[in-house]
Amino acid sequence: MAEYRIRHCERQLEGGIHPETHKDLSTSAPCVFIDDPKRLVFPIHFSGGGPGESLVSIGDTVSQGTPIIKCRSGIIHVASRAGKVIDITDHAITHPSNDVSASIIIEPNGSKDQSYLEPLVWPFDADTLRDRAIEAGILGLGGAGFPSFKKWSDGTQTLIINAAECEPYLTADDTLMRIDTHSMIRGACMLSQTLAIKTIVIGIEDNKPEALEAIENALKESRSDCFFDIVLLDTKYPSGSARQLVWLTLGIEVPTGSRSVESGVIVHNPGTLAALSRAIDGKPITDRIVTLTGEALTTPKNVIAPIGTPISYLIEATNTNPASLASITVGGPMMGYPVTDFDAGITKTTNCLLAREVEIPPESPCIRCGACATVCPVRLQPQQMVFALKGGSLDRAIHEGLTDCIECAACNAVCPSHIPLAEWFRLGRFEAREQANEQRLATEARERFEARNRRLERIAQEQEAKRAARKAKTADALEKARRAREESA
Amino acid sequence: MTEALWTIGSGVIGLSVVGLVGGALLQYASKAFKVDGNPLVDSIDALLPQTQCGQCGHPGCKPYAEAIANGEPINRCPPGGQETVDRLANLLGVDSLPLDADETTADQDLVAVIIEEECIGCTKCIQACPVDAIVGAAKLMHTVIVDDCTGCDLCVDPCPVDCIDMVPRPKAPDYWMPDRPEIISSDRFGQIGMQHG
Repeated sequence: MAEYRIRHCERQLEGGIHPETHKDLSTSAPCVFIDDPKRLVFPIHFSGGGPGESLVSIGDTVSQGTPIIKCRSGIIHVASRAGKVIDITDHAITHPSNDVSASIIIEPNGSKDQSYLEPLVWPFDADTLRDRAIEAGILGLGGAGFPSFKKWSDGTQTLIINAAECEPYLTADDTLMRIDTHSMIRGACMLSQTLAIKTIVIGIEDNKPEALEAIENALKESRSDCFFDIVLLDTKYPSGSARQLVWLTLGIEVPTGSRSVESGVIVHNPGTLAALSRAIDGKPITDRIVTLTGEALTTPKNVIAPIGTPISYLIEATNTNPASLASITVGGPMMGYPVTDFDAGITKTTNCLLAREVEIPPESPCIRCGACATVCPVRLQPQQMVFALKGGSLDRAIHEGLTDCIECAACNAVCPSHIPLAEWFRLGRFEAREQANEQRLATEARERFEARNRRLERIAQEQEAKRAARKAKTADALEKARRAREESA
Repeated sequence: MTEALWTIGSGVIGLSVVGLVGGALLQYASKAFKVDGNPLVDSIDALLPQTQCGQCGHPGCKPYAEAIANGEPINRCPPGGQETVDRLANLLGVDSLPLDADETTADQDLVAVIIEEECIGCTKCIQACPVDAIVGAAKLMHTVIVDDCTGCDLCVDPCPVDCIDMVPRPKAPDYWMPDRPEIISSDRFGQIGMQHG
């Protein structure tokens, strides 16, 4: 058995809130497989891993596991079911823009054709594992979709499994840990052994006793010699935010502007590690667990659905008529975004579809109660930042710490004036990134301009030197000729 | 009497020594920590957009930064837009001015594109480009490195066959910017009740 210990977290999350969790809505029903839908949608630029290019053409027949999209980051997305590419066209996407984007549409043909990768044979090195993660399309399945291989740097001390799942309503990770525990543990062990990581920490909120029990049982059965440090966190939002989790479990504060990797810590979602385990066996990501929940769904539950399944198909799987819903929230109630076109297909980062009706009163003026500052887990002053952003002063907001905001929306949840603070911060952070990008381009332009000026100056000097040399040579020759003439005379 | 002289003398000598030591230190510091160039020019240059377009009447951003440091008006940079004027005003502690440009040229993010079928390979645009963003060789087709182009349009006039267009800078295919959250929809972040008790 693998060695492990369970300890209660001795640190307290700064700020944070205790929202109603509503998790039993979806955990009370068993997790089921979704039958293959009529069509699958794969957005070329929005499948995670950056903008991509299509590797297939209309009319191609694909197997389950055939590469169909290659992203700029290298990540390859595969067809989640065997079928035929019936179209490559602009199609609704699962994205906060609620826009259309170039997508590959596949019609599954019901065959079990598979085109998987060769299983990796232990022992393998880190580069082999990175290549495998790229080929198998492994992204952070927790919601951010960051290409996992980019986190795997040498010299990492600790792997944290982010099993907190602090967002209300979400139970996809909880479900995965109950039914796919061994894959998660195996993925974590394989990754740790490859990168020579010493400790694996599991950060889990204390409202998941079933998942904890499953993990304990799996560890008892495991033959791995990794050490697992299970940290029980108080149920408080947002303890599952990567930076907050690193602080809670290890006491390490990840500095502003750097990633946890730079502090020697890798944070992965349980689903990512389970997917990695299967990728080592040759199976790319083709399915994921999605929580279908919310009071507006007739039978909420967790499902295992092919990537690309249209949202409408999943709503129907809960015996609910999609036409009865105006919009559905992708992700949880705190950080999710509404999607209105249910033809859009789920992506690797779609962990939850939440349907419910909530009345939000209109925004009132800020009364400076400071509630937002009290709950901010990053200890920012959200009211100050929002004043700056509303006034159009991005620089001021950045000075107040905008770039450290994790967009957890705890401030939104407690604001008595219902000010959409987190929306402002999201916009501000986008603008700040854009501004930083412009700054970088300007710096590069300056460097090229100065390099060009130096080059032109150098060329001019060289030509001047050559001219002077030529002139001297000519003068010399003339002088000689003159002397020769004088001598002969 | 001697005591008084002694007191005064020791004071004079003591303070002289302090003065000399301090003077020597200052002399040393002024040599060792000498700043080359005007640091204000660099601060101003950092705020300018580095398009090197010359629309301000100077051959590049750095020369304009030097001119501003010498008292030239701060509102002559159309690519920077009003935002840059405001930042310069903030840096220099002066009142902001309205941008000295007509609305059409101000703050448009453009890049040059060479119509490659029509390019005759004369290299005139390559020589005009202040940031080396055009590649090509004599009698061979040229092309613009879009990511490096600052949109200064200095290459447009020298082209003898008018095959250079200025077009809006292309966005990445996954570019997206959220709307301003002025209107409150029922779909927003953090819509959740709190636990009681």
